[in-house]
Amino acid sequence: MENKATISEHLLVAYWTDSASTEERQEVENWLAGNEENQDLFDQWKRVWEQSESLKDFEAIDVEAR
Amino acid sequence: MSESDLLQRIHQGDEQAFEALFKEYFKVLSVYAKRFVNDLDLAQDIVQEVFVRFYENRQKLAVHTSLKALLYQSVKNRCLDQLRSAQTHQGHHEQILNLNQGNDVDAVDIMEQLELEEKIYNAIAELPEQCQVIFKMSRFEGKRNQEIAEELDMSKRTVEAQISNALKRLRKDIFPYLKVLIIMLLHIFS
Repeated sequence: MENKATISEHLLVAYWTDSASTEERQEVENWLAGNEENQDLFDQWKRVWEQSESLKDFEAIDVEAR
Repeated sequence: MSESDLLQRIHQGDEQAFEALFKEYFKVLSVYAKRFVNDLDLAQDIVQEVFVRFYENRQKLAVHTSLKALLYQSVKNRCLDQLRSAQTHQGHHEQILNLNQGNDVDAVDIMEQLELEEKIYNAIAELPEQCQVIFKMSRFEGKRNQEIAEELDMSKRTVEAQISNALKRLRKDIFPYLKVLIIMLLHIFS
């Protein structure tokens, strides 16, 4: 099986949000299996994605108006 | 400006120094306060009040740990006061329960986490407008790339490229910080 060194980042988002096709899932999993660093990268991205939850609150706050 | 310089200037009634402190912490503290009171407007009012009190009491302030820790602690205390005074209302019982359960969470951990969230916000805010819009539709509205493409009248390929751009940006801006954070947390728990 082909182990790609790079991945199209949008596939990761599709993977996390369960909107990836079977082929896309396979592509992400191949990429993950291809290199330990990829798993590390994946974990960091996933954490940042999840931690972006409060983005809306940060956006809604207007410091200048205070 | 170092924290002690800043504090020194605030002690002396330097309004510019105070404003710099306010600008640096107002957003992140408001997001923190919202975790307790569950209302962003109320959270902002509480944080503003903490800053007003802070300035009024600037002469007798004793900072034992850090200015940052003091601000977080003050905001937390004010939020708890607020929740206690609202305790008679049925709806708040649940919040107070949540609060008590959350008390054991390491304060340093929460501060670091909120700072990370603010950094992510700043990184996203620097993306081109269209890229931001697409990222948010994907992240917050849970929309699939195809749906986003139809709604914004663009190709799915463009949507995918923009999402990839957003992630590249986060990798560039946030990952170096994430590594430092992980090393720091390992030190705390070792």
